[in-house]
Amino acid sequence: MREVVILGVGMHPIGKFPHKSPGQLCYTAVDQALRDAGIPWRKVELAYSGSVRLGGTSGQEVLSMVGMSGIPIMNIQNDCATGASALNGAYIAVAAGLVDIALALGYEKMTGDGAPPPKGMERLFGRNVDIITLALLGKRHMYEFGYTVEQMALVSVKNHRHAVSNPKAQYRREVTLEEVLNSRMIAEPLTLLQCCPQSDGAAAAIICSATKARRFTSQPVKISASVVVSQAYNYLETFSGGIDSMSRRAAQEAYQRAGLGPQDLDLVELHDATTSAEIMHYENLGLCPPGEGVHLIVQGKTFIGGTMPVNPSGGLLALGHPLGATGLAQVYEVTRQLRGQAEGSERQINNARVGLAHTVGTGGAAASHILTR
Amino acid sequence: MTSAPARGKKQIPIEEGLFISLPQEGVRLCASTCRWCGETVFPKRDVCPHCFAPGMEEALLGPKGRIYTYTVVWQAPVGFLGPLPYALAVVEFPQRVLVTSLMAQDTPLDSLRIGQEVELALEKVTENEVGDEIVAYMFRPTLQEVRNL
Repeated sequence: MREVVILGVGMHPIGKFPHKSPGQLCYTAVDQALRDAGIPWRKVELAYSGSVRLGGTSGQEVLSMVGMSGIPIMNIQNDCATGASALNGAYIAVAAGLVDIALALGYEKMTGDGAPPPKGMERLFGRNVDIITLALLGKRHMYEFGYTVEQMALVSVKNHRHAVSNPKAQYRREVTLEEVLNSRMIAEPLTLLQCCPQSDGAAAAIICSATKARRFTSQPVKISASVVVSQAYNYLETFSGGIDSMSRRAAQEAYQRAGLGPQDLDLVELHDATTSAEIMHYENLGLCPPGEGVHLIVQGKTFIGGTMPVNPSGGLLALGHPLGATGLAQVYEVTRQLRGQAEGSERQINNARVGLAHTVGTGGAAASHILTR
Repeated sequence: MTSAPARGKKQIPIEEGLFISLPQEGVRLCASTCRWCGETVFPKRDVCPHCFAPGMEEALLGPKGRIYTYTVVWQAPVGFLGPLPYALAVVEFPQRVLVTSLMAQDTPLDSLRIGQEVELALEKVTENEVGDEIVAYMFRPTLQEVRNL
């Protein structure tokens, strides 16, 4: 396997853009990534494109906005790990030596999304909502390790603060703990401000073999590990789609492949679909021992400026969560941080050299990428 | 505990193959147990997801289990038909199986706790166009638990 680097990243801001088409969102992201990489579209030899809701051959449709070059375009649908899975597919093609330059693209249009009528058990439960699963998991986690919703809700305060100066973020406003706790209840213990929003967005990465990349850049960001896993059967996780164990395995395998450990990380972008999810993932990613996740947020360690900054972008809670785009939005943030190019004031993590990006989709997939410089 | 259907109305299961309603004993869930590793799964499967062996045997779950975790939902997911708020519970049965469903509608929402004993109940979800009841399995606190409150 060859070394693979990230040559360029691009991203459309995340938010609600009901009047923009998926193609328009994607054009911005891909155009920016190409400019950042310093290459024209015709140099890209293969694309992996991902969206949860659009499906089909929507990759061909959105990329036709950039140009119909005839390259292989693969469409990925892997729940919330879709963007990261697209990057994994492109990574495998470059690492294996099939192509030198590939595009990974993720995008989503959630505003104006029509859903078909429910069938079978969906008439009892409604359509599967990850927020409810994370409420169930959060309740159990709080019960096992004895902490309060007031402690857990600090995650929302942190991530909203991080997003304030991020020009790509959907919500750029600080929130107080009282506001978070007093926002309307969604599913106990989660209030509205403890849940990620519905978002539109697109993000892209141009990746390249390390050898060829020397022609284009002197400061490549290396993909030290790219891992995707699915759920291994365990009866205790039949209701949760394996969110915890998949995240643990994806992280462990990534650390192993990169020859690094959690102690080497300068920043983490993780899948904070809810405040409860962020606390569980502190533990799943090995940032602390099991049961101690809540201490990281209570002691302020995961704020920018803390010993283990988590979600400096604002995370899913404040940057936003355009399902299929999220994995690559994280890679955008980590890449910019490692280059010392974090957008917005006071968001740059000093001398960041190693970053982890983690996404997970219920009942489907978890992905971890370790990027280094 | 099963609510008797109104006269002339049929009860139609919300989905085939998930549960049976026995005249004396009440509701049971249709699960499968692996002949090789003994793992029990719900709903039924042909191949064991744990050891991958084919040939699972039918098994019934219920009536009693304990709440593993729960939540009270205040914002309905797309397609949800019932009134808000409602309680959703994950219940562990003795065969090491977790099953998710709603708590029966008359369950006091503030009475729930992890570890609480519940039993299966058949409850109306909605009606079809000719007025038949669409029914599903739900959970309700056992009499034992209600007395302890």
